[in-house]
Amino acid sequence: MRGYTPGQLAAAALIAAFLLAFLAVPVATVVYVAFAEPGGGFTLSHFATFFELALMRESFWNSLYVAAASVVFASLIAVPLAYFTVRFRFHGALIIQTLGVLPLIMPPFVGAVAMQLIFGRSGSVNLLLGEWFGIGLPIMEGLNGVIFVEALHYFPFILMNLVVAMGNIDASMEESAQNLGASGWRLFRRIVFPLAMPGYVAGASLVFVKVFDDLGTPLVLNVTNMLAPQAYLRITSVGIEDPIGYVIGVLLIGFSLFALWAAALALRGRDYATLQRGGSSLAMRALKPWQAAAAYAWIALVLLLVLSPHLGILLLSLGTVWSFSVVPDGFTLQHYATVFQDSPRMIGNTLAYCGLAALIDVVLATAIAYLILRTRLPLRGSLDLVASAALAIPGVVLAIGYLRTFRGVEIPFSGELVTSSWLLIVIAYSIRRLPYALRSCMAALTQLHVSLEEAAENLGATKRRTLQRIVVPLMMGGILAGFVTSFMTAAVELSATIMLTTSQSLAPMSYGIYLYMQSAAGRGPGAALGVLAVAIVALGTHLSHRFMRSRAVDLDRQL
Amino acid sequence: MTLKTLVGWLVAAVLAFAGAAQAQQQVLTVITSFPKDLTEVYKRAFEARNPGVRVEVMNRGTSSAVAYVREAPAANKPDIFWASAPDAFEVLSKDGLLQKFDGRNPAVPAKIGAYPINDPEGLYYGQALAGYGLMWNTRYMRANKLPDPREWADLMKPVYHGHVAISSPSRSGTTHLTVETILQGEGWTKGWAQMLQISGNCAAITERSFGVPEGVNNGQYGIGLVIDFFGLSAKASGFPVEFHYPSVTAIVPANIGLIANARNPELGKRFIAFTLSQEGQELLLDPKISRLPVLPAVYAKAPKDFPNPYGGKIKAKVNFDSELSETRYYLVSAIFDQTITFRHKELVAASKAIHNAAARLAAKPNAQGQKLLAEARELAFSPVVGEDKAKDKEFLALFRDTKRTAEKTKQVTGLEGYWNGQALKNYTRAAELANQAAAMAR
Amino acid sequence: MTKARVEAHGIAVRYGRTVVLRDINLAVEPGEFFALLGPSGSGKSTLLRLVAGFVEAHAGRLLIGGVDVSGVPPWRRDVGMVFQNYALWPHMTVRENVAFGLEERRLPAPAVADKVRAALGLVNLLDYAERRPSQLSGGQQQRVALARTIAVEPKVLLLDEPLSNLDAKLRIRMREELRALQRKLGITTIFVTHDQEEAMTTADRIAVMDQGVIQQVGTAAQIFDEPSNRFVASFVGSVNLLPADSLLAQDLRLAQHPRTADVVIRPHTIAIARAPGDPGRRWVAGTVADREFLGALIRYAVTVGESRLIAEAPHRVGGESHRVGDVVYIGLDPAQARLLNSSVGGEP
Repeated sequence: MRGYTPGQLAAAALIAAFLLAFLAVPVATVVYVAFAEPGGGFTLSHFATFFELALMRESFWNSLYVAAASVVFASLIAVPLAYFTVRFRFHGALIIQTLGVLPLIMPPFVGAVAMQLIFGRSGSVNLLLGEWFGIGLPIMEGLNGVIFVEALHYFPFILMNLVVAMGNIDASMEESAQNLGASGWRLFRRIVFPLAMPGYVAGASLVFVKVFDDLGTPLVLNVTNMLAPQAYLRITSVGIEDPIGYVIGVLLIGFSLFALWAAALALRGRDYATLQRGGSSLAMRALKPWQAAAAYAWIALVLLLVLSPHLGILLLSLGTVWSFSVVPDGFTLQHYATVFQDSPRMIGNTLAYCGLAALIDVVLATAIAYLILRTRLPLRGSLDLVASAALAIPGVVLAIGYLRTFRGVEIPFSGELVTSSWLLIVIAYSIRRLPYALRSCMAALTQLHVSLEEAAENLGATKRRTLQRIVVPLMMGGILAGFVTSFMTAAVELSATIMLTTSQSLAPMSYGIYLYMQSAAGRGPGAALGVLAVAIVALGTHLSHRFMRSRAVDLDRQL
Repeated sequence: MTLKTLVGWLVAAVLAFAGAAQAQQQVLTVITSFPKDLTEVYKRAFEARNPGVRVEVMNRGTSSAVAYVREAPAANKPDIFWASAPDAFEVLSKDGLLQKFDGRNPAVPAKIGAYPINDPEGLYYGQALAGYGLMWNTRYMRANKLPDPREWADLMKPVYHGHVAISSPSRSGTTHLTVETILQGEGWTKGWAQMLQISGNCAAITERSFGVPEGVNNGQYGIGLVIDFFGLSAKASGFPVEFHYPSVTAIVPANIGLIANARNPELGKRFIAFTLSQEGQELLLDPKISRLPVLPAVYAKAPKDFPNPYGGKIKAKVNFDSELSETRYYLVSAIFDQTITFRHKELVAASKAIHNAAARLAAKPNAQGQKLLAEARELAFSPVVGEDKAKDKEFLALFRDTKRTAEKTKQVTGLEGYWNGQALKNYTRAAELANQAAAMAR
Repeated sequence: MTKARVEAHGIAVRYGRTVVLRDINLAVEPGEFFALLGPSGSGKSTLLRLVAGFVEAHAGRLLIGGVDVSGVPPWRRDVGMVFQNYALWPHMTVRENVAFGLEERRLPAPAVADKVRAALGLVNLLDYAERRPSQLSGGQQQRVALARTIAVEPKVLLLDEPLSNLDAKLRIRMREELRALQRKLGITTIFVTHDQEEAMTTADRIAVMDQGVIQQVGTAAQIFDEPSNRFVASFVGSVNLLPADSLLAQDLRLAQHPRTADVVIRPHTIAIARAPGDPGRRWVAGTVADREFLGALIRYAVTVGESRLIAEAPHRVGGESHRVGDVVYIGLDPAQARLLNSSVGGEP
């Protein structure tokens, strides 16, 4: 039995071609150049040179350190919060859920500038501390600043994964341990946390990869002795031929893949979702008054920290002058006026690029999900693998790959260089967001019982008609959620954007914010634009949740 | 249905978008390191006077801009290159990437001080003037009780320890110019001594040149070494900052040039002419921009405290030699990075120890202590490369070529590693000696 | 509605290395209500899906209405299938669900409306036309699924365990309705079930399947009274199996019975009494080992020598009743005994 139709084969071929041209080949190019002798031939000399340069060694170490430290701090914030949510009956649960969303709507590089003003050397916090206690905390000095901003932004990944994992632990696991005498910290350490470990590992590895690859935040914080900024600087200032930039690219990819693989390995065979049918998850306990106070205090502290970039950016956007003072001198709406005057094009660009990219993503994701789950096409698993591998490719590296692979290529009939047009920006966005959309669509299609399609075929609908009338409408919740996720994450992307945006008129909002932040008078408008970006992301997150919830209800009633 | 309408809307939007982009016929592409504040103003003014023309601005750091122009294929080069750093233009003209044409505005003087404003070969023109100076945050200074500095040399004083900021020549073309200015003004050895001492007082060597004025604006740092317009524009925008030109400074032009094989050379020439015209020069007086025009007549319209390089008030002691700067460009960057940027922590520690020892010895003089202290200063504040070596052409050539063979790269990295190690040794030893000296002040 | 004949000739189906259907030969007569009966894993659903076109045979031919349909995709076969979980589309109303197949056949709107009305009328759900499937009960959902299939007037109707998701009372009512409907429409129907009572009460003929092979085809009575092998004998109804070499079997054997045959006797044909009765029976003594009260009858497990026999006696108030441990006499009627070959394989 063949298991697929010619139409499906053609679709698979098209998808494969797209992934090949815009993911596999550029990445392969980067890897190739890193190992290639100028005249052809394999060499490790570029790597040797890399490790001989003190700045490069320092950058390498710094990137690893920052990523690891970010995971540690993010865990410090997330683990107690997760524990509170799962273990205790108290009203703060809703706040914690909000805490899990708030950081993600503020892209780190946007908040970074505001964080300088609040936590920097002469920022609000240190000024107050200096006044009251005569001390200063070097929170935003150098690498610390990067770690602080990244940890505050990414801890929800760990929080959410951990809450789900802990929620899946059957109560009997804990009860049997208690029956045998364990309680409190020991119980947590020996039973609860190990069982929740897969969730933790999943979140932590994701945080590690994302921090390791981030270009925007270090750049905005003026930290360039890390791998991603170095790659950017070298390729743009030394030139597209500079092999060091490619070596860095290979290192970035390598470590990202390694982190993801290690996480998968840790999780294999350890799906501890032990929740039995009809069983209940961990027993909720009531809090003693002092415990409640401590919990609320911790939550309040975290909430304050989490809100600081939001607050800061708001203040900056409304402030006249904010210098060496706890709050701005005065307030004005002028910055918003400037933004609306100067930047409608940027906003339009963002909507167009991200919309197009998200559209490409859901079309591809739906097609790939269908091919994987509904056909027996040979090698369809590799489509999934390649599409998901995009997660491990940092924006910087993909951009370098594009600039190198498509160098000098002209768009037919226009005489414009592909590398100077918005096409590559859209494609870069869509490739890097594809894994998220794919996950949404796979989840939606998995929930769709195949009998619904067979019934349609039985009644005379061809595969194509079935797709159109039955599959896509019933997947719509997942498709829309995937669209929104793609859109939102692309809207605040900076790494690939910085490298692929050649001129101001092509700039989307994220690049616009970066440009504004380059001058003193531009900070206010930059912050205003940042506030707009956050508003868009917040709206998108809300819409996405609504879609998933409403459609999930429909599907639940299928069987 | 939702998906279909969404798709339709998006496709229509994108097409309308792309269509709008094609609608205007003439596009002028300007690649520049100038910030949006400046480019927006010029773009709007030029487009207003030239309907049917659209100005495309590409923002790049100076070295990225040079690399971009070098690597762009012949049919796709930008039209105009516009940047502060003269050395960028040196590089471009040497590589034949600029186009010669006569776009001089006769009202612009031939020189500023002894420095020619326009390129003698007509490849590029000075569009604005820039000096380098000190910018400080008044609130910070007041809070930390610091006196306003007047000269670079002031920054070596102990009172400023931990309050200064500077960027690195390798990361910032303008910082490179500042460092070069000091080296040319004070001589190689004394200049490096100054640089080292100032850097020892620095709280940070920022990763980008903009990090310095930004830090001073924010109140993160007290004093920074910046180009004049950073300080002037920040002050004009209402920030609590002051700017001052020290006597060891140079005024050099920020240039504009037509790129060879530009797609719109006529349009480009018109733009250049505009920037050099009375109207175009007046735009520089916009508080957000605050750059010094090359056209003397414009200063009549400037606000009261606006500096006038033609008025003789800015005492620029240094006649900047850009040839010299170009020959030792990479060497200077490398020495700075290896001995200052990467060893900043140790340098600062050594500085602190030395300041401390000097203070104690001032209170309680001790001949032995003074000797140790002098030794410490010698160790910490001498350049790793001697003046003669710095003039050696072969040695300089080693650092020049960007496309190096594996052999050369090995040599260079070897040297860099050596300097780095030397610096570490020296600073550590200097700190030790200084502490010993301090201990002797009893 | 046309009545089509469904024939399978030498059909074999394989998933990877596993053989799921083996040498299937079958003929379903036009208008017949035919049941595929068997335990899970017997291949009955696979065979049904084969007829629908969702499974491809790697050997043999399938003919519907005399036409070889191997290779014809499901949407062109014109066979209607009702799925076990009904597969109603949640994003469409009942009306839209039922109209689907008609729309796929490009019928003009008025015709579609007429046929939808007719189909819903047949299953008495006209009043529910605008509801969504989530708003219907299990039985109603099943009827919508049925209406949806009938609306397109297929040549063959396929039902995949249509009653297994319903509770007991509803099941009985639904199978009566199903039968009535089928008789009214006269459409060739194949339905799959694991419940032998369901198969026996509704089907004209039954094919008993096990491990991918058809064990026996026949009417309910044929299968019940004349099982062709051990499997069929024990799957349909309860049975006492006396192996060929057991004493009791030999005891029961008349002169002409072959010595290698197993003997099967149904429990309800065995008499149980305190003392031997009717001389036409073979009476043997035994002890009551177990006793189950089932309301209409009492089931006794009686140990006779090495064998253990199940006997079912009708129960009446005041009638004979035996307790565990009692010594009783079992009366076996040779006319009711059946002989089987020792092989497991059956014949159609």
